[in-house]
Amino acid sequence: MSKTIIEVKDVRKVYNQGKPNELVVLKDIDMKVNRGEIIGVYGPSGSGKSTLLHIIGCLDRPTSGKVYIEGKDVSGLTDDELALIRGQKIGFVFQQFNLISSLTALENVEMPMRICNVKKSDAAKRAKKLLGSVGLEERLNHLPSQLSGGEMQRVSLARALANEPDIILADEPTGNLDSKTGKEIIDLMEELNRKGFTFVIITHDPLIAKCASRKLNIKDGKIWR
Amino acid sequence: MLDLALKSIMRSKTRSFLTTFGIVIGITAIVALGSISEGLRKQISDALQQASGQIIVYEESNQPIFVAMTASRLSEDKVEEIENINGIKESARYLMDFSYLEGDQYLGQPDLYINGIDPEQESLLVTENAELEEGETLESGDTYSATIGHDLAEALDVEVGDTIEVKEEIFVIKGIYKKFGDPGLDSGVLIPIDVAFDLLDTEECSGIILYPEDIEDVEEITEYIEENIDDVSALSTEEAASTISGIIDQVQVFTIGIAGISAIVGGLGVLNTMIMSIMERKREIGIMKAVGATNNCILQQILTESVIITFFGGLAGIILGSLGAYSLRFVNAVLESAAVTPNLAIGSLIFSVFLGLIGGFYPAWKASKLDPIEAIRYE
Repeated sequence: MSKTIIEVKDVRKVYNQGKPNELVVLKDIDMKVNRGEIIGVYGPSGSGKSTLLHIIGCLDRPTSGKVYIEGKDVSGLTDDELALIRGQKIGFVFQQFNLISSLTALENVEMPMRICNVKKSDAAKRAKKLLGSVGLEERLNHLPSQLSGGEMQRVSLARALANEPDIILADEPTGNLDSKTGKEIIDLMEELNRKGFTFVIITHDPLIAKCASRKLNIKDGKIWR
Repeated sequence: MLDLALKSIMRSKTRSFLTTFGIVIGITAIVALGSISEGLRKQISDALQQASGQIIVYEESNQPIFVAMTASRLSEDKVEEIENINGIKESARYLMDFSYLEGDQYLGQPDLYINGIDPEQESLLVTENAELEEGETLESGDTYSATIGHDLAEALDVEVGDTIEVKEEIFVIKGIYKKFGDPGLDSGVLIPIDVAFDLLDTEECSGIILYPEDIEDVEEITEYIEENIDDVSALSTEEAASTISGIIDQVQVFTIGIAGISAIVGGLGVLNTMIMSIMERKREIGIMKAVGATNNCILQQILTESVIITFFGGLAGIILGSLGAYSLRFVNAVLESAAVTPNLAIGSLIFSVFLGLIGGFYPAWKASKLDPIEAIRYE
């Protein structure tokens, strides 16, 4: 297995290309992420860090340049091919949690598995186990509105792990949490990292900086080392 | 993902119910109206089968067929000419008129059909499928005897052995027929043709019923008579039935068409509901895509929802429509044979599922094309 799990080469992202309101968000980004790393991505808002995360996460395509996930070039794939990679190789954790409000914690964690055609009973079994591992075995049938912020973020971590991805991408995972629950989430991520998951985390949180194996500073669409 | 679809539908119960109801109304109308015309068609094809292979010859007239057949009079010469055509196995002269019952009895208009027939040939006129409820048929030598139809017997409250007055003459009732479905027999009185000549003061019969030796020759003989014998009309029962059946086809297309329009309006309701639902769930759809849902997966999910709505709407419509058709029996005797055929039921269900697919397609397609990043940001 290759050491490099994510490779970004000369990636540019331009919105409204060729129009008067053209906006260059990412300029010639080059980066590599090794298996088992925690990368902390820092930068002021509007610097392009979220866009970079979306491109690595196969939610968006670069205007030019290449992105390799586990050695596979994903920059030219179709919508559906990208969706499959998102489903199997990547887990997302968002600042806003982004749980589906009408589904219980258990159903939210089952969903990525159901989308990948895992049998309902198998999905439920695994979702229970995952929620247990993030300390929510008592909250399986609660709706997101009945959970605290920290609990919601745990559910979304469990959801990110549903299809046993290699990479977890997190966009300000502690941004909406108080420092105590934020710390709990960070501990949880460190624990998962020890189990082998690779993290790319956009954050302002100095606590994450402590546990990150490397830091990337992005400003004006460029990486500053 | 069926459970997820059901969950989405149940999230806004009132809206889903009203949308389903729109489909229910349309499908109910299709099933109820369709079953009525199916019933009429069945009645006619039954009547046709009972009388198949007959040719009825009567005086040519511009009047509508039933009036023409009653008013018709054929001279003896003409009758003989027709009877001598090659290929005729048997022929039965009949004399037909109508009258009204004395008193208050009322059986529609007119309420009494007089059929004069050679007693030996009674079964030719009423066809083999008519059965006696009680008593017996006329025999040769009978004079002031009659067999009567079910409705007439019921209206007059008479039994075999009682008498019936027709044109101021008294007849003894020899037999009563079972309900047959044709007013000419159900409200008819059959008497020996010689007596009928006296009674109606004529020497000419109304028409002749011909039975060809070979049933295959029916059309040929019918055409031959029409072309070669002046001033008469010949009508085979097949021809009559196909004419009427054609009319019913048109009526059916028309009625089901109108009912279909209401179902299509229901389908527009589905379209509307699904578009609203997609707008509300934009963010959710974005999340589903972020965690790996393909465009196709979203498309299927939304289509499943709209088809669930129309499928159950269709089922409810079939049940309500059947109940409607059934209860119409009690309103009008003509609707008695209204029947929900398997074809009609399955066709209606397929149509409602089709409406779900059509009504759901645009919203589903739109949802599937949503950009996940934009959709997730949507509040």
